[in-house]
Amino acid sequence: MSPTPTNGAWPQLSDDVCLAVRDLSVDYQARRGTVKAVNDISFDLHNAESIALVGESGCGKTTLGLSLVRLLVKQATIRAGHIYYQRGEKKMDVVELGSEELRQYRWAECAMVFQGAQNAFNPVLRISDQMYDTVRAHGPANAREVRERGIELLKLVQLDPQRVIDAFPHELSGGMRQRVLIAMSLLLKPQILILDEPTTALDVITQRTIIDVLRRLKKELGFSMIFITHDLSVAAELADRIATMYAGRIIELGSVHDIFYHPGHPYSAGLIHAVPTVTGAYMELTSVEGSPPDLIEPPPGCKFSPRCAYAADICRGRADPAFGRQPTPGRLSLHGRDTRRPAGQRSLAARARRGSAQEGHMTTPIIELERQPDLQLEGAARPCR
Amino acid sequence: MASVATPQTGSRDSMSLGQGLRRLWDSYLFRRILKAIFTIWFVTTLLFFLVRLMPSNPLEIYVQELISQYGIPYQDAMSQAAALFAIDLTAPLWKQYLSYLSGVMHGDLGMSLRSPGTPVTSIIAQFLPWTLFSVGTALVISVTVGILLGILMAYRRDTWTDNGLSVFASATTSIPNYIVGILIIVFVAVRWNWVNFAAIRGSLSPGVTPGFNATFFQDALYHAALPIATYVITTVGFWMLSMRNSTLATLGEDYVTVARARGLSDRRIALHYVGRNASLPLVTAFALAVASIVGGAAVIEELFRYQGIGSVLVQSVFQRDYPVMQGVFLVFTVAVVMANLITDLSYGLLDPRIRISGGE
Ligand SMILES: Nc1ncnc2c1ncn2[C@@H]1O[C@H](COP(=O)(O)OP(=O)(O)O)[C@@H](O)[C@H]1O
Ligand code: SF4
Ligand SMILES: [Mg+2]
Repeated sequence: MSPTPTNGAWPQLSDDVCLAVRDLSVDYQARRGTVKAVNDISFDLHNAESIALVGESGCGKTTLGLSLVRLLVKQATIRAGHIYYQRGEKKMDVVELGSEELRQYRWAECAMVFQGAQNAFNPVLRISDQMYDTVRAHGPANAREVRERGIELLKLVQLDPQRVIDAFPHELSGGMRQRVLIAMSLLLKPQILILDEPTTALDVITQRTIIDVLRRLKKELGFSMIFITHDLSVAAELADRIATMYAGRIIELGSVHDIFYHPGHPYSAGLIHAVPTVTGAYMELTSVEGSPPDLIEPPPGCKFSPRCAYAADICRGRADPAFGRQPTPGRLSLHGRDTRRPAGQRSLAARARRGSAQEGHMTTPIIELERQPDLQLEGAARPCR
Repeated sequence: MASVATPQTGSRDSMSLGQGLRRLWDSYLFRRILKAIFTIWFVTTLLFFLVRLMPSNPLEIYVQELISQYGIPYQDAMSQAAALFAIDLTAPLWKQYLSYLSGVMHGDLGMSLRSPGTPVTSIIAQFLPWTLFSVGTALVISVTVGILLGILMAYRRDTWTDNGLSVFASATTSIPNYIVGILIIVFVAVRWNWVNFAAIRGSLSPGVTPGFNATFFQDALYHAALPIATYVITTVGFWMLSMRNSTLATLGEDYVTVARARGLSDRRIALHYVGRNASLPLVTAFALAVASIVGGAAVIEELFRYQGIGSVLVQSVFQRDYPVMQGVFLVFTVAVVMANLITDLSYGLLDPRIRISGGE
């Protein structure tokens, strides 16, 4: 077990960390019992960094995202943990925020673009009115200024502002609405943007546009991003680091390069195998053999053991063999081997990735992945004892 | 609608009559009004004949009354009655119908049979305002209170508040209005003696004259209070339950969650994001509510001896005063059709998603 910071005490965080999640656990009260949807999650999000959260459906990605803005449904409770947020002098534990502080924190500090945001807008209000509402909720607002900022952001997401700004939501297509929501999420210049599967359920061309838009926005505006996706090729394009989630835990967190070429956890390796082979084709990451674990009565020991080809008695016997690492800014494999690196190396790895991600190269990552022969994965595909 | 603003081809002069009619027909408003007029005509016609299909007729009833009350011999009673009645009830039905119809078109609803010399229109003008006042007030109270309580119930879902109000709402909507009226009379007026039942009869106390002053409004409200209470009690439950369900559905909508993520205040969300959208489905129920209250007004006004158009209807039915019955029914029909029309048209204003389809 990692040491839990005592209540109220601010943890040791480096200045370039904007969000530090510590030992976060979230439960749902369901009829059948308690669903342990998020378990002991810890990670740091750095300034201008983008983390992709990947994992199969039901592993707790949305729950984790929602808990970061405390928008969990009534049946859910944050059982334990802290969400430390800092921006300059502003420091807060999101878990402890009162309702008014929380309201101010939402969208202004941390905005979230929801999964399936087709109905994200009030159908009876114009886009401009909803933008005004948003700014107004966080302080004095001048209708004309809000409108101008809105127009500016709509241009940034490659929409025709004149057509969109005074439109009602139903007058816009799904892809347009998604982009309007992204534009609106940046209205208050938040430090963190959480995107929950922003491209799912959109056609390939719209997906492409949104990914390009996000990449440009991030470069120009410099916010941090937590990007939830099914699609590892999208993760490879947008993320600096990838966190793989399984059974409500982050089982591995590392640079894109490391996760793709030297995955530490057999499940991460499985996910990479499951990347869709047809460019852009939407596909759930169910191709890892076996079915997701029951989160009400999870298997003992390593939660992946029922599906792991390398499972041995030791994996099931001791409690959670795979989860004993401290979160580090660098590569974090929670999995048996110590893969921690000196802090400098992360940025090296990231730079290396960016270096290889010159224009025109990373736009076709899937083909690149296909070209990577399976032997790349062999290193990872071994037991972790 | 857009096509009206920007004619696509040529000038208006070159537009043929056929095109003009076509365009008129394409206008949603025009079609809707045409439908309303047709409905009114149809119901009026139906009622004209139904009224005459009722057993007995005004003459017989009047004669019976004369005989039983004053002991006048049948022959005398007959001649007295025949002299009294202005319309010829022996004329062929179609002739009566045509003359009635042409009268209606000219705004003439005929003369009352039982109050000779009194036009039906002036009877309506005298009694209708009281009904409009009591029914209108009741509707406003009922809709407002119902919607607010409905939102409250949804926000307090499955709590003591919600359960208690739900029981109240389902109970009151399932009790017939006249039972509620009788219970009110029995308890409020008789048992507890909160109001003097004799004094609240009629629409105004003697000596009070209509005008823009507090005394008048106070007195009018005093006399209408029990009928209004009855209407509200019997209809508020419907609005509560409808609004509760509609709000629950709306609370689950993505845009409500997104509004919370955007940091909007609870109050702003409850009114402009939840309330406004949740009340949209209720707009269609409004016309039905008007119809049901108007329908109930006859019994309730009679019960409370409130002198509105409903009590006129009951009286005229007993006397088979055909022109008055027809006149009141016409008013009811127009009221319900208008409520429908307003509902349909305002729905487009309230919900931008409907506006577009309205044009084509
Ligand atoms: N309202 C809820 N009540 C009970 N269980 C829930 C609820 N919402 C989600 N869960 C459960 O929590 C787990 C994580 O869900 P979710 O965060 O939506 O996963 P993901 O976004 O990765 O698909 C799933 O097993 C799901 O069944
Ligand atoms: S090798 Fe053991 S500990 Fe590692 S994933 Fe497989 S079952 Fe879990
Ligand atoms: Mg999800």
